[in-house]
Amino acid sequence: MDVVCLGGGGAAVAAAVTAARLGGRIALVSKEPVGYGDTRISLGFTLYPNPAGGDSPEALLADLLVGGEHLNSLQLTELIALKAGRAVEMVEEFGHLYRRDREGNISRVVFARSGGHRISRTLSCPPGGGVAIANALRAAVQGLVVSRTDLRHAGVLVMEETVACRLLLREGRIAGVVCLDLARGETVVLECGALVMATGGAGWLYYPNTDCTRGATGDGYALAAEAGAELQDMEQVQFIPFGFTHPSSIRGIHIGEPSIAGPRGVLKNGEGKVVLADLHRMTRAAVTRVMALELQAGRTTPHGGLWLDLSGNLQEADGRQLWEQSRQRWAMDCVRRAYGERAYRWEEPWEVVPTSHYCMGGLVTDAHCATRVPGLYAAGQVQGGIHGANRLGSVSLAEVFIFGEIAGREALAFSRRHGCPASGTYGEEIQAVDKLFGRRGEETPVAVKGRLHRLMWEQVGLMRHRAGLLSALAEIARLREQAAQTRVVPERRYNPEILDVLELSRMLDVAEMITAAALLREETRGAHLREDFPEPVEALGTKNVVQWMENDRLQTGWREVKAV
Amino acid sequence: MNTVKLRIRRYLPDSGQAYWQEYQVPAGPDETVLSALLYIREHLDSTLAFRFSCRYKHCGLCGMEINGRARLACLTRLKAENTIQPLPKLPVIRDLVVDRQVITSLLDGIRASWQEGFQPGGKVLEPPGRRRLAACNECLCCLSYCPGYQGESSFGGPLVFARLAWYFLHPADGGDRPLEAIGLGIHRCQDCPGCRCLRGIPVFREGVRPLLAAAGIGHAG
Repeated sequence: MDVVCLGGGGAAVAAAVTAARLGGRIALVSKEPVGYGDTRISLGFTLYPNPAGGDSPEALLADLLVGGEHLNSLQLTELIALKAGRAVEMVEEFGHLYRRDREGNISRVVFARSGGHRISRTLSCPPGGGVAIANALRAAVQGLVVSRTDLRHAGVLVMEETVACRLLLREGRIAGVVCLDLARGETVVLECGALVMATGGAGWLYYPNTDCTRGATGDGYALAAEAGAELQDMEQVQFIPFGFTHPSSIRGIHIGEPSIAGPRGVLKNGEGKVVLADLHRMTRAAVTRVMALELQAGRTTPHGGLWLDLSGNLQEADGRQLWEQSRQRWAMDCVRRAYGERAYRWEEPWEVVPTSHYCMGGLVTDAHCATRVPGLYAAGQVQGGIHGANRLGSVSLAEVFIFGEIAGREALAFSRRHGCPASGTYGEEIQAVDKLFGRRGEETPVAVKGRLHRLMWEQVGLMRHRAGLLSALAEIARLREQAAQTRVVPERRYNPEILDVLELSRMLDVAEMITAAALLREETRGAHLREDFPEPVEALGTKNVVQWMENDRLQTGWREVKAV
Repeated sequence: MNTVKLRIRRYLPDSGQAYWQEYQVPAGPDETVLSALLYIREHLDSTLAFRFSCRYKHCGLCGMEINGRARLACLTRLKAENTIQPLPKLPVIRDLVVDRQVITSLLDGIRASWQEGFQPGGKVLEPPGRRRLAACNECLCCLSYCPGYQGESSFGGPLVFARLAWYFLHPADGGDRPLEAIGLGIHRCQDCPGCRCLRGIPVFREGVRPLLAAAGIGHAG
């Protein structure tokens, strides 16, 4: 295998397709079916420069840096600004078409202004949204599929519902990956010359207070760190302001971001007092910060949220039109189901709570998407540095394609330059997975997972403080001991407990990274809110939190922001 | 809080055991079958296998047969008693998890083939029906409603024809989709009253019918 791509969303597929088209023999290894990650639920909002509206790479870069509070790795952010149109191009190469006007040009009508942008430069794609883009991803991969028996030719070997368990190193570089094929219950070793990590984020650590998909358990951060890669800014977890509070089955599901409030929408606390007006142009981080303070003070609605009251918009002449637009764009049918007809019509306020949406932090890479581990590349949400301390709306759908393409191309080039490392026997690594089947123990891994979810939301969630973070670190250590003693039924084929136990171990690693990074940053910046340090500290405004593993222990320190 | 009953079809592939299992689950108003399944996994029985991903409507992974009909668990409200089985006509891997490969392998090899001069992001006009086909979330529920599909690999069924039509209706498509459709048995759709899609996508009108017409196969409707 020339390159293994881990993941199943936009970044992994962009990398795999790019490398296969360049003649590479590629394996695409995805824990979920391909196209069933966060790209699918992205609603399809894609960054697209809008020169007619005064847009330019410089204007976009400025917004990204201001939004990211300058913690961004400048050379990566610059790439987004320069290549912003590439995402739409790639998605269209795969077969999706964004809305056109009557002349056949990309329609200006569907340009929207996402949170934090000063210019409307986001395309939406009703009615399919992210599903339509995910279908295009699946179509692109399916057009390049090769079978297991035909690996001599360029193409993509697709391994769905296959969990990466450990990266393999040889001669100081990436040599492959040990995976578990869930349906067959078989461990598989894939040897390769280079590997693209594109496993997405870790929003699921906060379940049910997340709008991310089930697979977003942060596997890639942990796998890559274990192999020697560095991470940055892991304390920067974005909570998007508006998620559902109830019913429980949709707790945390995304309703929308600040721009849905419209010019006259307001946020009220549980006592009915307006705590925020004119929020529709604010960043996600800024709105979440105000909400976190109210929640912390206990001035909440019956289901532990705040009221988002959009009724003011209806009094405007164009209020009806605004409602019509948002009805098409947002999760409004879900509002109707959960909160009723009057809420759907904006006549009654909605209960909303911030929900874990995106990890700005991630693997440290250079502009070629290379980590410091030779042969290990990263693209998409698992990569750090692009967004600094806060991500602006619709940029992630650009990032996955822009960096996925770079990572696929560069990984293949590395693999060709250096060849595959000599084949090895990895008995110990395989055994480590195999012996989990049928392990005896007191409780189930899912029970420990539940404790970790609650801990992260309560102590490492919206609002953090030193005592809570310290107790969280101690609790994570205890949960590790408990996790090591969980039981797993012995059945091999599609055993849900084996998935639980593998994910739990990665989630604990990532929980520790987030907590340790949050403890170190004694200030409030971007998405990271400290109750005990409510203001930004100027000296920390030019520093990234960097983390790496040394002798199996997580190390956390500072590094000057890479400004070029 | 009330208690509801779920009767779930279990299948354990290692031993070949198949049986019905009953669970009692506390459920508030407006809760869904998916929330009950998650409750079972988290509190009663973590060996129960089912797929889900997004928890609300997007992903299509929680398709299953609920009280005799193929539905998405995340959009189906709980009743006092609920009978839940895997989707019919597809091989079962374990419990409520079916083998999606049976269908996706039919999609493998269907390739994009753009006419010369096609510029992504450039000037192009898309037939409105194509956008609706693009919203298919591959929940596989359509297969259970399709009179023609019986689980064989020689017939595409609604989902595969929707994909073929998605290519066919692209203004710059350069492939021979009617030929591919004939290879996947579209003639069986000739006298069919139509497809049923949980998302309301008019698969027959916007997908199957144009392919039938282009393949020169007449249709009474």
